[in-house]
Amino acid sequence: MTGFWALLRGELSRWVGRRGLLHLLGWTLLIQGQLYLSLTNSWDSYSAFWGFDLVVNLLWLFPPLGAIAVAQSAIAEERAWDTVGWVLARPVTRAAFVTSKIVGTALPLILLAVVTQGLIAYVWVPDIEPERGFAAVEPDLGRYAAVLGVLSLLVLLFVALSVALGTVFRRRATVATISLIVFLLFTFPPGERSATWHEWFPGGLVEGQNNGADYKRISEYLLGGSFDGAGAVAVAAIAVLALTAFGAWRFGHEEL
Amino acid sequence: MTTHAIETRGLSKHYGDLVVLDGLDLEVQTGSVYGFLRPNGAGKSTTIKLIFDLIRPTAGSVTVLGHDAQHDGVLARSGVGYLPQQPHFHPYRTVRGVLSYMAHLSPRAPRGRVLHRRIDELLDQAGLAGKSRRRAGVLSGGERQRLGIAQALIGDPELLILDEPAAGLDPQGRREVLDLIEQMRGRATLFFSTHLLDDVQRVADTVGVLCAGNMIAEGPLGEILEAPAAAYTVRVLGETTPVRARLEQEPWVVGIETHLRGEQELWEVQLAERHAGGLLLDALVDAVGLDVIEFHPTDPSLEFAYFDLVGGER
Repeated sequence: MTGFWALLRGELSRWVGRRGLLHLLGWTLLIQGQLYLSLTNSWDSYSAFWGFDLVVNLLWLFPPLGAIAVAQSAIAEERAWDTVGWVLARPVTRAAFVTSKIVGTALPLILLAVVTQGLIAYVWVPDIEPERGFAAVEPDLGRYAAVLGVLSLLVLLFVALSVALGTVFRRRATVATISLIVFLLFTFPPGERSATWHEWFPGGLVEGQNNGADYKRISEYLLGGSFDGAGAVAVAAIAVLALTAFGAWRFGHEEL
Repeated sequence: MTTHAIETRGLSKHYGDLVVLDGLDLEVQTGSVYGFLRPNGAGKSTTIKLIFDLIRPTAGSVTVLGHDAQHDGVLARSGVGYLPQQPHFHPYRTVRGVLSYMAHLSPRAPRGRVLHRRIDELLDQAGLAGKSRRRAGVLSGGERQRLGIAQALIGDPELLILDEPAAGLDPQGRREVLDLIEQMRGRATLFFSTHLLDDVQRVADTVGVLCAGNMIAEGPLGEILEAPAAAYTVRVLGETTPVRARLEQEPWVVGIETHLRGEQELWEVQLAERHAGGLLLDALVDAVGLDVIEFHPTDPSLEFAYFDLVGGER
């Protein structure tokens, strides 16, 4: 992994300045705007809906899509710019190159789209009057942080998936399409929710109805219940490691 | 300290039936300025990619600064600066950002304030001091080439590999690049590939000639230049025709190319052997009705040697 920190530094430096500010602004408008519109309008479909389940819902739905949108080009743009050979002519390993792409893309996205948005929501969502049927009570901060951690892991998973696919396929559209299909499988997993394998399936963490009657597994934990998604979290973490290893192996064998 | 900055043994690269490199043996002496001459498609880019482990050889090995390029690639590349042919940079980085990025990827580059000063120096040398905040993506071809040279130097390399360093530059830019190579002589080993024979003749002390995947000649520049027959430039006035006819009958004269210069004639006399210059001079001095105005060996030309070696036409 020689050169990883220097490469990561280079990746992160890209987010300092305009790119980072645009992402911060965009994610804030998208997440907080959607939250505000939903929580301040008396929509029947949202009645009896716990405000923080909606926060979880939005932080699950949009950041992984953003991760796919950004990460699908991580390797492809280096190829398009013809900079891969130039960078790899330095004393860095290809594994470091791929890993820096994953971490360097996931870290800013997690910070801007999950952690920052989660913290902003934590500040203002409890102040929403419950008169419209929302129970926007402030959750325990420790549990909330753990949930944000799980959501961050899912963002990391989709970044790792897209980057790994980018080492295999040269066309961005192919990478994005396969990643989106996986995202849909996560969102709408086949079979009954009670099926045993859903406990191990990372998508099972965020599976559930948005009507307050059938909370997502991590929302139930946020409400004070026990967490029964440890297996799925472990599978997600292993999948991230496996995808990173695969991407490094695949890229390591590529003739540039 | 290893005696060879780059050494390849039986280096081959095949793509199916296509043989791009065929058993290349290359030795670049530490401290030398090595000009790697090649026509297009000779396998030059493939050789450089193999040196940097960007592609894997079909057979053979590459050693860079004493380290196997394939198995100890990171160590091998640690002391190497590289200017790619047509350098490309991340378009979102500034000119200064490119140098800073490369410096952090180079273990020998300075850090902190010393790095800032070093970047300022290189920007100044490259004539980019006023453009340090400009995005690399909007630089002109010449500016990109100069930035490419600056980034190759940022890591204080032991070995500098320059792929067509003067390509695409105007005469002034080309001269600056060659001057830079001259300045680096003795401070680092230089390996540069080019198709510009004049550049090799001007700065290289060792030449390798690659043709169709094979190294057809390699050695000190002087030895390569001695390979073809000697040539003399002669300017004469008077009864030129009978003298020229007599000379053309001599077995040690290969040919005479004639150019008219007013009343004078300029002859480019190709001799079969270098020591036949004395015979030529004797014949000219003894010729009746002929005034010899100028007589000297023609500057040995790498162009002659090169085309003689590769069998092409000038």
